[in-house]
Amino acid sequence: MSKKIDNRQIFLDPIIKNNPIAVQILGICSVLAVTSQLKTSIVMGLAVIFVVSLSNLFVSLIRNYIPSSIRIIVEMTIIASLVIVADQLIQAFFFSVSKQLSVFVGLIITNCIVMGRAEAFAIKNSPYQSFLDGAGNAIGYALILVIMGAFRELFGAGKLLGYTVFTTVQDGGWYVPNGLLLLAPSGFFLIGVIIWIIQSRIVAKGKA
Amino acid sequence: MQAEQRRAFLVGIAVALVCSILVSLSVVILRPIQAVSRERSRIETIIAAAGFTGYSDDIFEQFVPLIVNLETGEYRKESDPERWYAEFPEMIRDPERCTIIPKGYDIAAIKMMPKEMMVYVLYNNDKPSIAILPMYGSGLWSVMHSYLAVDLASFTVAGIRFSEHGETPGLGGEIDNIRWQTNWQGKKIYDYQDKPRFFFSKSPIRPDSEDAQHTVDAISGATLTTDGVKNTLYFWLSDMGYRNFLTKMNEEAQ
Amino acid sequence: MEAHLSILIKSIFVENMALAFFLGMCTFLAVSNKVETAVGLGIAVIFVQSVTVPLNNIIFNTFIKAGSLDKFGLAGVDISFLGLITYIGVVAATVQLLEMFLDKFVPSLYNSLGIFLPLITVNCAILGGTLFMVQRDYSFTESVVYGFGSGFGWALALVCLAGLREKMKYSDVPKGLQGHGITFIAAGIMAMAFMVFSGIKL
Repeated sequence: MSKKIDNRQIFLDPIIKNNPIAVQILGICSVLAVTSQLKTSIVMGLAVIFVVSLSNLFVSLIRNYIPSSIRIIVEMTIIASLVIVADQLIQAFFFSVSKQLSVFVGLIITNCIVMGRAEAFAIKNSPYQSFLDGAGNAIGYALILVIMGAFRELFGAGKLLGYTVFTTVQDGGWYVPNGLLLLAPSGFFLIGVIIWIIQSRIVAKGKA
Repeated sequence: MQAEQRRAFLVGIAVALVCSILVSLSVVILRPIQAVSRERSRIETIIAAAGFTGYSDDIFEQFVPLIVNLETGEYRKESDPERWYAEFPEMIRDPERCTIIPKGYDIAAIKMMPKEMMVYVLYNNDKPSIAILPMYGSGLWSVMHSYLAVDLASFTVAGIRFSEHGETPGLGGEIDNIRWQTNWQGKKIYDYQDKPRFFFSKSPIRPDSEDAQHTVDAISGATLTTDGVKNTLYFWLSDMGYRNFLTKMNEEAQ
Repeated sequence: MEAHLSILIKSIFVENMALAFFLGMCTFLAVSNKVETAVGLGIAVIFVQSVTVPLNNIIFNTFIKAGSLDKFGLAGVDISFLGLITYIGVVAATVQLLEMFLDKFVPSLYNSLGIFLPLITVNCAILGGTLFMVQRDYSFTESVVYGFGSGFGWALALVCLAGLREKMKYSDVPKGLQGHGITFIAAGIMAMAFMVFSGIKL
């Protein structure tokens, strides 16, 4: 990393070029599990943005006071507290979604992105930059989540956010939904393809 | 070295303190809102099962909560349905308040069932017209909780809604599809032998046949889920379930 | 007995942590290069999972569950929202203790497993196992079976994928797909194969 770090770059880089999911391969678990519907993907994305940007901010605020011996456990406490707050917020305002997300909100704690950004960035940089880095990474993460959620719901069930876009054959329309997209394996395939697209683009660009 | 340790200790305490305040505050502030959302979603499901749309306290006031003794079919009014509902998850795992279901009869795969259940009944000119019966049974992934609304005079389905399930979204999850749920309306719950009977059909069936009165569209890719729904209904509509209560209500409804 | 057997089979094959719930993916993809390391990590996960799930079960039933504090004279106190932070604490502590124990008494095992142990704290399969146990309200014995089963299922998937990847070294993979891309697709095909088990009812 160059000496002069551009704030814009900190924020924008992880969104596509250094996307946490497709390039860094972090935080895959929840991506696959919650993306069979767009609504759950969006809520999950918001929760991760909330947790990562704030945890980065807080860790960075106290970075000069944390002795390295208890660094990990302090970070863990901050993250876990934020996740509990996010979980409670979702239960209060998105009750039906909270039933579908079940344990996956709690699993943000062990999402490698959160811990990874705290360790790799927030511990060494100023609060504002850390916040930007956290937000950028989380948005990059949420972006993939939303793309996959939209793709899987649209082609798997002919709907978006629960509203019918393609009328399916069962309902007397023309679209034969691809049921595989709603099942677990399709999540793997889609990520594989997204990685393929991003990587071949970067490789192609590098050569040009 | 000593100072280092002291600092570690202090920072640890400070972080723990701040975090605990943050967490407790959010919980205390949000708990009432959560309770309202939860209650709202319960009421919505119940009145939707009976065929009303949207959320309305006025409509819900017409629903009378009754506690039913499943063995005898006797019932009494319940004055505090919310408390009863809050205790329900605990109750269905409490051996003291449950009957162990004998092997071979446990088609819904729930092992034990409460001796009493809380149902809602909608009255029309002082006669019971629709009963909304809570049911639960194993689906593909987890236990599905549902409400079946039964028209008491004709013993037909007035509506069905699921309040909680973990079925695959888009496949088994289509049990939440309104179109599919509408399909159930008017189907007879008991056949000529007085047994609960439902079919899931993949192709159109002759509307005048005997079977048509028991046939609901199948959901493609969700055989195990719909089997779970069927087994749940078979179980709860049998003598072990609401049968005795329904017979009693049926007489009152005539 | 039968119920326990059903939980075991279900947690290994039908509700496989890695392939049906996608838990522990980061390590799943990072450590599946070689069968040998995969086996090491697998054993560590089985072990930690078998310890933490029952342990969290005890904690959940005595302290966290709504109404469980009544017996300590704290009727009406509900601290179930503290669940998450407690479970992760237990997981982190168990891993730490295990690491120290192995280092001290079984150094040979420590040398082969050592590097994987810190990875396990942030492995969502471990926390996920606990959360599923809580959500499904398993009894203690059930939680023992579930802990072992879910850990074993995860390890099985890991070793299988590692086997596939070792063979795949010799295949001609499109350029952009090399590395993680093809691993995902292979894992997807494996997940499809595991779906066959979903019809099993015990």
